[in-house]
Amino acid sequence: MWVENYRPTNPNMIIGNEETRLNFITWLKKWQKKSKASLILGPPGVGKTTLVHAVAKDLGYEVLELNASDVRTKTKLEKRLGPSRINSTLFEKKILIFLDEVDGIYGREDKGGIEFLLDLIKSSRNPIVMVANVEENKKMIKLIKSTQVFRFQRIPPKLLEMVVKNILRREDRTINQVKLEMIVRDANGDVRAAVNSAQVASSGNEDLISELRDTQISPIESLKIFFDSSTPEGAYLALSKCKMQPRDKVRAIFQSILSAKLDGKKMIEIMEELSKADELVAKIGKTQNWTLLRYFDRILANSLFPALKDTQVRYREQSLPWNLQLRIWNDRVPLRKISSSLAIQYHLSSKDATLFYLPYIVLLSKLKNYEKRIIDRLRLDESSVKFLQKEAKKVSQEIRKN
Amino acid sequence: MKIIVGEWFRIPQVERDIFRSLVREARLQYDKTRGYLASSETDLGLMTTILGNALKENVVVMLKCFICGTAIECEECKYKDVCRSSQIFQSCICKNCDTKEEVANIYSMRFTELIG
Repeated sequence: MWVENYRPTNPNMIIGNEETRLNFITWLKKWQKKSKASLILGPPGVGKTTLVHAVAKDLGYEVLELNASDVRTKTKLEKRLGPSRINSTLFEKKILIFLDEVDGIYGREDKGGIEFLLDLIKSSRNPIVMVANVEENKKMIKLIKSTQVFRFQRIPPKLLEMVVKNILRREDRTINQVKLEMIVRDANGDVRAAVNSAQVASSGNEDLISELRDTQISPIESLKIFFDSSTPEGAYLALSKCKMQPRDKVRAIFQSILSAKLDGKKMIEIMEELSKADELVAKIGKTQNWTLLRYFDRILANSLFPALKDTQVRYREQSLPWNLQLRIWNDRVPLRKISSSLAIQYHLSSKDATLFYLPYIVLLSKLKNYEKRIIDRLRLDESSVKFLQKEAKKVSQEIRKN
Repeated sequence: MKIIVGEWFRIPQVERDIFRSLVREARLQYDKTRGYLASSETDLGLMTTILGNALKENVVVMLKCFICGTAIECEECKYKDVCRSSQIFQSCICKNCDTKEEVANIYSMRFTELIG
C-alpha cells in the first residue's frame, strides 16, 4: 500500500498544519517533569499519529503506544500504564506515552477510564501525548482543560495534489489531470484517502474510486460547511455527507439561527424556510413514507440557502446569542446585589425579590424623588445604581414606543 | 479590502458590537498597536461577512505561500469550491511554487528551516 510505503518518518515530510506541527515539536523539545500533557485534535488522515511517531523518533523517545478504544477501563489502563508512573526510561531510552483515539474511551462501560487518565497526566514522569478525532464530546472538555491542545485541520487541496503527484512520479505512474483533481476534491483534506484513491485510479480500477469517494463527515463539520457554503449544491453536499437524523439537522440549524444576530424580518423569512423541511420530517413520520427522506437534504439546502445568503448565521452549539450571554454575565452581579438587598428589607426570598418586586422598583425609580429614596433605602452601591438607571431607561423607552 | 492570514491589518474604528463580534465570534486577534490578526483559529467566513457589512466593501482573504511567502488569492484557485472558509488552512502553496518539479522536497526543506 502506498499509504504505508510513503508514510512520513520525519516531521518535515508531513504536510499541512505547519504552525501546529512546529508548536508540537517545540512542546516536546521543552518538555520537563510537571509540564502539561498534550492533546492533538483533528479529523482523520491529517497526520496526527504520524507526527507523534516521527517527532518521538527524531527526539530519541521510545513510544509506549496504547489505542484507547481497545483499552478503555481503569483496570486495563492501570495495568498497561501504571509502571510508567515509576519508570522514566526504558532500556535507557526516554519514554513517550502515546494514547491514540482517546475520544473512544468515553461511554458507560469505561468505568473510570477518564479519571485514571487525568490522574496519570498529573503524576506521569514521562510526556503524554493523546490523539482524538472529535472534541464535540462534552466529556472531552475535562481532558482539554488539563492538557495543552494542538488542533489539526484538514489538508489544503493544493498540498494534497502535491503529495499525490510526488508519489505518482516516484512510482512512475500517471493519472490524467481531471481524475487527479477529482481525487483531491473527494478526499476532503484527508491525505490517506487521497493516496489510496490515487493508487486505485492509477491501477485502472474505476469502480473502487467511487466507493472510496463516498466519505462521511461529522455532524458539526457538516453544519459548519453548510452555513459556509457559497452555492446551494455545496450546502446540499454538506448535509448529505452526514448521517445525522433529519430532525436533529432541523434542530441544530434552528438553534444556530436562533443564536445569530438577525433582524426580525430576516429571522421570520429563514424560519419559514426551515419550517418547510420540518414539515416534511413530520409528514414522513406520520405517513411512514420513508422514501421521501431522500428529498430531505435537498429541500433543506435549497429552501434555506437563498434566505441565509449574506447573513451571519453560523453553526452554534450554545442556544443563547452572545450579546444576551454577555448581558447576563455583566448584569448578574448588580442584579444579585439589588435583589438580596430587597430580600433583606422586605423579608423575601431573593428569587421572589428578583421576579416580582424588582420590576416595580425599576419603574418606581423613574418617578420624581423616588430614585434617591430607593438608593438610600436599599443602600445601593455605584454599580447597582448604574444598573438600575440603565434598566429604568430601557423600560421607559419601551413604554414610549408602545 | 485584502486580508492576509497571519499578517496584522487595520480597519477604521467600528462600533462596539461589531468589534465584539469580530473578536469573540470570528476569533480575530486584536492588539491596540498592531490592529487585527486573522490566524488559523479565525472563522474567516464569519469575519468576511461582518467586515463586509460593517465597512460596506468587498473583503478578500488571502493565504501566504508556505514556500515563498507570497500572498495567494484564493479566488483564483481551482479548488476554491472545496476549501473551507470557516476554518482556514494555516498556509498553502502559490501557483509559481506549485509548478516547480521538486515542490514536495522544497516544501519539506522549508519546514526543516523553520524547525531550526
